Amino acid sequence: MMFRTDICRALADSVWEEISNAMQSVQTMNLEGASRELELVAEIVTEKTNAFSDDYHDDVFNDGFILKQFINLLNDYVYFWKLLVSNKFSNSWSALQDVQDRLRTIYRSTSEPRPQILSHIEGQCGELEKLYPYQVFASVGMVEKEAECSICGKSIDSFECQHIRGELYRGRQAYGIVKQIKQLEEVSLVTNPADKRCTIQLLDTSEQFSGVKSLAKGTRDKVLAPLDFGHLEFKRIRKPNNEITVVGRNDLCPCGSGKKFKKCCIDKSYIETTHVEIVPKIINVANLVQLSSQAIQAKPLIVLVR
Amino acid sequence: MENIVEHKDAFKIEQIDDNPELTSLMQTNTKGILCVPESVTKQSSHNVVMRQTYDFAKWLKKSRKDITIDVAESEGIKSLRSGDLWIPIVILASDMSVQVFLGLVSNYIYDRIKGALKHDRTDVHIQVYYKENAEGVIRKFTYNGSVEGFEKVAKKFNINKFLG
Repeated sequence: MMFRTDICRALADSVWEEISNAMQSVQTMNLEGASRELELVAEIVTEKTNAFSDDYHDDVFNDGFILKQFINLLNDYVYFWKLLVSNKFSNSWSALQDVQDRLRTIYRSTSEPRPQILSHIEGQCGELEKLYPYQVFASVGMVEKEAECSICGKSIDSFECQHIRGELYRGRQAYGIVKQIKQLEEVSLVTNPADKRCTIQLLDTSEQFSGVKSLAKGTRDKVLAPLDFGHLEFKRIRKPNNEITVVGRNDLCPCGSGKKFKKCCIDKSYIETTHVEIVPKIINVANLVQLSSQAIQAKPLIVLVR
Repeated sequence: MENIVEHKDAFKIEQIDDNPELTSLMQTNTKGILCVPESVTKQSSHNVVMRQTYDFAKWLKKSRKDITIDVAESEGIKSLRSGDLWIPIVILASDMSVQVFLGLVSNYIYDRIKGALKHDRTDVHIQVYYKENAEGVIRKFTYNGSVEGFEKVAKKFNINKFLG
């Protein structure tokens, strides 16, 4: 379950209405308003968790950490849409990774049932990634000195430190701080990197962003609300090739080859291209945040050409 | 053994000859599991262990107090910024069977990928050195591939079938 302790369940309940309101603001594209509401919630939760008694069980602190991650995740999600609708596509990719890293952290330390909005956002992230042009990523191989534990300060790469990377200890996540790189061995291009932010940078105006650009326009124009973004359907279609002059089958080919058109460039008169359809998933935001939404399938709203 | 893994998943068992360092380590390591640096495998000259080595070792110490695990001395930590899961290279003492070890790895992987998203892909890399019996030759089990493929191998692994 999302929270193991009554203390944090009560704390979450006390701010749930504000969280729900923030998500309603996201749906109406009041992204600044949603950010403000979530920041307010984050302040309240931070104040309450900072006041936790030292006598409390570890689980209370860990639940507090999860609740803060949940609010930060929603904030990152709002930030992602803000960047997207501002046509800041390159940065929006990194923001999308931030959202997914928060999800992973929450999933690692919790179990079902979780608020339905998490699996909804997870599904969206997987589909959104497909709209971006990134296929390969930079990956570094290096030899490091032992990393320092973020909790005890000892070497996390030793038995002297009891902490394991990624696990929670009284509301703090253990990670290793690398203080020295001994040798940089390689920089590779890989399809499955540890960090998908390590891309080959493209300009926001690049043609490769045409998919996300269409999504941004559709969202800005309120044809599609952020939380209604569902999944993508890719289709191959043929369309006339504007670079070819079409003449009669038995006429001389305009390319100057001296052959008849039917024996030369006739196959080039059409080109295959990929169409992407964004299939919305109309949702009831209040229910989504409250764990019990029934998603309604609707017909595609936007047709994109890539 | 029937082909139970996907095409991209690869596992094999091979006999290892002519590796005095490995032979010596196997003689001195009489209990449980020893994580060893890459240089021991002769595939690399680097005396380093993978970054996940101590995470795995500490996880095992915490979850299975009855099993001995140690990490041989190394000169550094090798870190790959890859989404793959690198299980430390290990040698098994006579009291630890390959089947049991693969079962432990399976539990570890389950724990590690608990936070994975549905569209995440995690490949696993495993190298295990062991003796068939106290006097036997050294063999190496290698697996590189998907988590699902590894689960199939771990579940159906029967050393006798490989050895005929």
